Amino acid sequence: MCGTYSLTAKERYIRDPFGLDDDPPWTPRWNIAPTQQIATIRQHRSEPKRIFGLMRWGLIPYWAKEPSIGLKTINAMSETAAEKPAFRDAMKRRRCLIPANAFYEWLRIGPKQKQPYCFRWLMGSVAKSGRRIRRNMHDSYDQAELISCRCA
Amino acid sequence: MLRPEDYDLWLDPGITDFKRVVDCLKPFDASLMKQYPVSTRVNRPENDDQECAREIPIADPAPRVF
Repeated sequence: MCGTYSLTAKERYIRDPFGLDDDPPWTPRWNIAPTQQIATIRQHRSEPKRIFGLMRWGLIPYWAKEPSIGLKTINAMSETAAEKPAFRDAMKRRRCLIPANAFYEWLRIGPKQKQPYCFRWLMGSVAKSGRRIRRNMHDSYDQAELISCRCA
Repeated sequence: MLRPEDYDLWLDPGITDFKRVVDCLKPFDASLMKQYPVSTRVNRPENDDQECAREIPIADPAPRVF
């Protein structure tokens, strides 16, 4: 599971691999945390073009009373991502790419000690899979969640 | 992680078949990744700079998880 990641690529290194028409507005970041705005790429509904957009990291289902539920929905495991009814529709109809260069994991090294590790892709930017929801018609921002796979 | 060859399928809003979508989510090849320890600076979201991703020497490295 990924709770923090980096997207350090400059604009054109996001534009080219992900098929965008223009340089996306992105300043390199090394420490992207849940609830922050993250870079996402989605497909235009009717035109053959991809759209870059910033979304809030963490899905808040429409029935949630508190936005804090978004902290529990920053990740989904690929094996079970299709099972939870609340997010099934997002998986089915509203998928996105989440470009990343590396992610961080904390490994326990003592009773009260955790060591952060960086996991970096050797080939530049790759896409994490994501899905997104719009909370309701009056919300102007979208939200996104990462879908994590186990590494082989 | 998605493979570049699966981007089109993953993004296609016309594809709503779960099986085809989930098939894109395969384990990523660990040989294409590097794993190394970094400073605990990354624990705090307000630290957002290159130092977060810089490799640091540690005395007792954790076993590889991948």
